[in-house]
Amino acid sequence: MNAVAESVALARQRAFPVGRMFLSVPFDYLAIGGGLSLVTIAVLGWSGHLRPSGDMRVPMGILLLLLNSAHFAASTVRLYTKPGAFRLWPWLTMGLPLVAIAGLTAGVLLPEQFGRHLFALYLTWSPFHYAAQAYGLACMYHYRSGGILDTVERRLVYWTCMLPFLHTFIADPTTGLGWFLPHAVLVVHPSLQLLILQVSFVLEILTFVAPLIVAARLLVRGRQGLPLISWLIIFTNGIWWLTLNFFQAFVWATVFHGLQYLAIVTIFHAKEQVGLPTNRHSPQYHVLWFYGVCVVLGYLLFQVWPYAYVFAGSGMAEAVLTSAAVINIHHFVVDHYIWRLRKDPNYAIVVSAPRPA
Amino acid sequence: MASLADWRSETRPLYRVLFEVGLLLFGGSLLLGFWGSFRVWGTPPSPVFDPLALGKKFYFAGDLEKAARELRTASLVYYLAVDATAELADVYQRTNDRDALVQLHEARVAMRPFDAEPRFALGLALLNANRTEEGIATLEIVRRSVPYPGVHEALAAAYLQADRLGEAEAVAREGLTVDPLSAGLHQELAFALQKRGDAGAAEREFQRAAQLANESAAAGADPMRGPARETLRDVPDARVAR
Repeated sequence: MNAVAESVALARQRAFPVGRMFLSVPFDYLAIGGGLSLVTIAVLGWSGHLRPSGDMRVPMGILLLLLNSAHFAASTVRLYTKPGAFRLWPWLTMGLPLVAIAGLTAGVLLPEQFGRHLFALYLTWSPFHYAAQAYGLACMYHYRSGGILDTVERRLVYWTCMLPFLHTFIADPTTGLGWFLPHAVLVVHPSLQLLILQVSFVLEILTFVAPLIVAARLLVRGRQGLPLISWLIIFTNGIWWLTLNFFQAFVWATVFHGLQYLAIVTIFHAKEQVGLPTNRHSPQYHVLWFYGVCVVLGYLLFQVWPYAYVFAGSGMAEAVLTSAAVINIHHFVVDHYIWRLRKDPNYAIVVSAPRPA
Repeated sequence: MASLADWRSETRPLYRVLFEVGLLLFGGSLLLGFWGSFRVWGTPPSPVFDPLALGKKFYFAGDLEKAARELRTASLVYYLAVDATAELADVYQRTNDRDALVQLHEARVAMRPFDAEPRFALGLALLNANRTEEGIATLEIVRRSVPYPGVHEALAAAYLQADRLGEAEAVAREGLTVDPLSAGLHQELAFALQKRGDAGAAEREFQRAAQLANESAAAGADPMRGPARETLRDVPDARVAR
């Protein structure tokens, strides 16, 4: 009887492992897994404060600076502090900044012709970036927990993560498909409009059903399941895009996406720096140094940089919003390179020194 | 990178130049940014992110021309992120620029053709600009597509303004089937009946409107529900005909 119970427990652990954490179960599940965001959203929704009011402008501004702006800066700080980055990616490290400055200047000078499209590109790319982050983190925890994914499984997990992005791309009237497909076309083609509504509804349902199907497939084939934290990450991203957008409270998703990103990138930075032969500092020092630089750079990028264009005579709306678009796009591009897990030393950090859950 | 010298020796000159120019431009623009913020606000940039801050500053300082320029860009170019329509519409109303108000809402309708709100606002703006027939046509689209609050009342008032009494009465009656407690609709119906010569029925509707308005006022609600009433108060001669 005991042997049966033990084998059931083992099978359950193999199908739904807790996973190996970077720091601890509470920290990883709350900060990186997105658990804290779900708790916060539930509390705010229950108390009727899900949509931030005008009274919350100052605390929200500070929260956005400390988490959101800092997370955008984090990819840049990570890029330039990563050993060998200049040699590995000369164009990314040395050419892209100038392209970003040129793009911002063009967007501010030509807001109607170019700036608005830059902004729409950023808004269209953003849900893809969130989905890609969810996929990257989900796989990271799986590999870290000793799991492997074959090509088909990897594709299934990838497209499961992409569902919220696909939904937003199709359903949003102003970004994604809405950016390329003028409203005038939809007005004269109501059947097309209906098709878009139907497809977006199916994608909405699939966002929450597909993870169950993928988990069941792994279970049936006797494979090690993705750790629960991976499913939490995927599920949370779906909640962010489908629920918060509906309540016009997406700002909370940006805050918790920032927290998720900052937590993982800071862990990577600190582990990497501590592992260098020339290191003379504690992990805590590297964590504080990295986060401090991110906050300062975030402030300079989002709050100070636009005023240069205001000083030069541009309006504030185009300066602030185009710079937000350019910083976002730069962040998306940089992220594409610095998180290539299997092809660079990041992978060693992913699989090294796992902490048993 | 072990040192700056190593970096210089290992990097291709083209990349080095690009990086140094980029760094110089970015550093210089940060200095200008601080300077710009001090020039506008007298303080370093605030961590609270508000792309409309400068437009609001001009607006409250009474510099409506500069305010309009700022808010127009925000409303029409970056409407995905910020909506300064209310402020901009107020600027146009204060400067009595009714054509600009119509253009603003026309642009909003073009951007959001499925939304009733911008089309309703365009209808009111057209009435404000004395383009009554166009206003009526626009509001009719709203009335036929969705049960939008205030649209029947605005349309009834517009039909009265155009002296189309039968349509004013019909629209007011239709509105009352949806919202029988609307003081404004009873009032529009009363005006229509009065102009058609049915004094008794008009009187009953006026009394019903007054009663509902008093009840709403006692309950703390705005007796004249819907945005149409507020806007139509400014329509020249809209009430004079009665």
